[in-house]
This record gives sequence, C-alpha cells and structure tokens, in this order.
Amino acid sequence: MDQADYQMLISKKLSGELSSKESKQLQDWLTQSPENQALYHEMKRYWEQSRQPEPPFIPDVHQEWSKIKNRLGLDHLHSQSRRPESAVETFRSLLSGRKRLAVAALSLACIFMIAILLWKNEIGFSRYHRMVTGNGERKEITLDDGSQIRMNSGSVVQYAKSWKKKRHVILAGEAFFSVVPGELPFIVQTENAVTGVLGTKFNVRARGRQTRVVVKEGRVRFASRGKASGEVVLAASMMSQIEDHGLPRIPQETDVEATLGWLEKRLVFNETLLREVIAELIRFYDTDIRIEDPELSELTITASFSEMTVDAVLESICLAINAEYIHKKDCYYIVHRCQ
Amino acid sequence: MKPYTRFSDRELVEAIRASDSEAFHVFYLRYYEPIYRFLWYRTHSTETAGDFTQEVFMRIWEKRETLDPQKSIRAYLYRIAYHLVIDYLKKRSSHETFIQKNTHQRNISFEAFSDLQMDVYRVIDQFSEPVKTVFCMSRFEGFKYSEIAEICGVSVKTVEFRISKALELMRKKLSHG
Repeated sequence: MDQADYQMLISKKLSGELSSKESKQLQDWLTQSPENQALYHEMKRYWEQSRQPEPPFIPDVHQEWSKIKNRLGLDHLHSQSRRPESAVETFRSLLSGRKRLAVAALSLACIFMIAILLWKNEIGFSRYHRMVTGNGERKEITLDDGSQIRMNSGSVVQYAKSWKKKRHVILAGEAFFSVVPGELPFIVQTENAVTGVLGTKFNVRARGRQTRVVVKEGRVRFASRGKASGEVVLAASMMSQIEDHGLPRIPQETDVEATLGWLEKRLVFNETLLREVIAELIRFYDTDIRIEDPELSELTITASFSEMTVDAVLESICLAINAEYIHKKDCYYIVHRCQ
Repeated sequence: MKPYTRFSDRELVEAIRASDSEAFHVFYLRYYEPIYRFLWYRTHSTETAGDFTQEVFMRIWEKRETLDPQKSIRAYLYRIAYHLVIDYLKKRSSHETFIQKNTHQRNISFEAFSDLQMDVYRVIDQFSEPVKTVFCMSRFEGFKYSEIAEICGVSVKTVEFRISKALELMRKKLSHG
C-alpha cells in the first residue's frame, strides 16, 4: 500500500466507513511513525473544521407548505378521503333541541376562552414587547441587533424578546424600518401580509384592510398571509400592496419620498381618498375631524403639507373640494360649501 | 396530524403511497429545511433553493405510487435535489456563474467562522462540483458512501476516491509543514 491508499483509509475513517480489517491496517500504519500520525491528525482537523455557512434566509416552512398544498390540490383530496365527522353525527343524535344549543354555546365559550389564553400567551406577556403610539405621538425603537423602527402615530409594534429563527415584528399601523443586515431574516407581519428582508430600509403601512410596502433601499419579499399563494420581490423605490387576503399587487415604481414624508412630519397625499386623508390628519394632529356629507369622503386629494396648523391644512383641503369646515367643541366638521 | 409525527420514514412512505396528504405534510415538515439548506449551499441563491425545494417535494407527491418503502426516502429526496442542481449548473454559462457567485458570496455571513474554518471553507469552495457534493454529503449530511453513490449515480469506489481527494487538496493548500 502506498501513501494514497492510507489517505483513502484516513478519509474512510473520518466518514465512519472503515471496516474492521481496514481499521487494523490503519492502526498499524499509524504506529509506524510520528509523521504518519501527524498526517492523520492534520486531515482529521480539516475534516472537523469544515463548516457550512448559514443560508441568509430560510423560508417559513408552514407558508411554503400552504403553497405546495394549493398547487397539488391537497385540500380537495383530503376532504374526499375523510369520512364525514362521525363523532359529531353521533353527538347530534344523542342530544336534541335546546340541549344541543346549550352544549354548542358552552363549547363556543370554551373555544373563545382558549383562544384568548393562547393569544395572551403568544403576544401578551411572555414572548413579545409591545409599543403603542397614540394619535399625535411618534416613537423610535432600537432593537437588540441595532435595527431601528420609527413608529408613526396610532400604531402598535410587537417584537419578539428573543430571536431563534427569525427577527419577528408584528405591526398594526405604520412604521419605517431600517434593518441591519444579519443572518436571521427580518419579518414584519401585519393582519394580512408578511414582509421579509435581510437588511434594508422600507416602510410598511397597515391601515384598515390594506397593507402597503414601500422600499427605500435593498430588496424585500412581500406575501399575503391568506390562502392565496404568491410572493413578490420589491427592489428600491418600488411599492406593492395587499387588500384583504388577496395577492400582492405587481410591484411598481413609486415616489418614496412622498411615502416617507411622515418621517419629516410632512403629510403627503397622492390621489388619496378624503376619508383616508382625514384619518391620517386625526392621527397626525390628535384631533377629532368628521366628514358630515358622505359623498365628500370619496373625493381624492393630492397635496403636501409641512409644518402647518390643522386649520391651515383643512382650509386648503376644503378649498380644493369646494367644501368648508366648522370648528365646534374640539371637533372639526367638514361640510358642503353653502351656496 | 399527531400520530404521524412519530412515524418512521418508512411508515410515512407507506401512507404517502396511499395518497395520505397528512402523512405527506409531516414528511414535508421533516425534510423541508435540510433539503433547502442543501440546495442553497449548492446554488447560493435563496430564490433558486426555495423553488427547487418545492420542486423536489412536488415530484415526490406526483410519483408517490412508485415509491419503494424498502429504500431510503431521504436518499431519494437528495437524489432529486442533486439532479436539479446539476441541470441548473449546466444551464448557466461560466460567465454568468462567475458573476452570480461573486455577487452571492458577499451576502454570505461568516461571522461565526474561525480563521481556520474560513480557510477550509475557501478550499472546499474551489473543489469541482462532484468532489464538493460528495464531500458535503458525507461530512454534513452524514450519508453513507453507498447512499452517496446511489444519489449521484456513481460507484462506491468513486465516492471513496473523491472524499480522499478532497482531504488531500485541503492538506496541499493549507499545510504549512
């Protein structure tokens, strides 16, 4: 046997493939000289010190499962292969009328209680920090990894106290994220959408039944939390949005500075419905504003305001839509202009 | 879903053969991440790795009736994954590979690596794809030589030779003596 043969034995030894006969051969060879032993230990060291880097991003396995399940039509198959809920059937035949109703109500109450308990445990006290901004209020959060979250008014941010597989943030409202690159993916979850990044700057706005993402730097993955599968990837200065549980809209170019106006206390509206404009003003100025004539609320506004009083803002809006406002008892009322 | 999580691979394969989607779900959860990691390590692209992982499992489901419970399903998964990677690497021109490799490399984080580990990694990265794959399957995936031979469609002797070659290359590049 020559050197190459012994190297082969060493590598087999390291991968745990050595037969007892080969093991004996290797032992004999090792005892022959210190050089042989040195060679063995050197190769063993390389073997042990070889490592694989962590992937920068690992998709959420449950989300991926729902995609493949939809593609293969497994839901359908599942319901076919299953028998009708026989336990429920038996239960029904045992109980009748009012009794059944009482049992149903009781079990509903139980489910409700359990749901509350689960929810509390998930988000309430143990695993997540919770930050809230009221109307007219802003907050900045710096996370353990150095990433920053700037919260707009009327928003709630919850973030995990410790990270294992991902940096997880739950958002209701609006916030701007400056994410420091790291091994763990940074995930922003809203009512209906999931936004995943590695290290970028982006804005997420979850108001009503809509989540909208605008990317300032880097790349962002954006997907629905509903059944609809499909994910879009957004590059810098792109935006996409998800309504309800639909699919994300195809990303398109957008005016990033307009979206981020709120960071500089600037209000920017681009063909925004008046009711959304008013909702934004209420949060921004922490004041009560009501639209008295419903048909006004569907009009759209394109405007930019910075460092103006609420009166001045309302004045220019009213001018644009041919309306007027009345200030009475801490509340502004927007009404049609009297002829 | 509960009883299935304790099922062995073989029991799961038997259920999957009978079109049991819950068994397939458990199987998916069990192997999603290892397969994804394997694919990412070969392609250095999270997007490609994600797509290919789905592809691997879709093929399993589509061919469920032909699965053999006597054979290692894990090796079969890697075999599909390995062939997807080989096709993928063939299709890309060397120029493209070069650019992609360099742009992807920047995104890989080596923070937790010691200097020696970094050096070893660099040497492995320079291996030809067949040597690299065989070495990694033995070292990181813990496959037996016979399994690697089946996954890659080569003889056991070839596997032995490639792993020994990998270690020899490391010694040549890294040895100071």
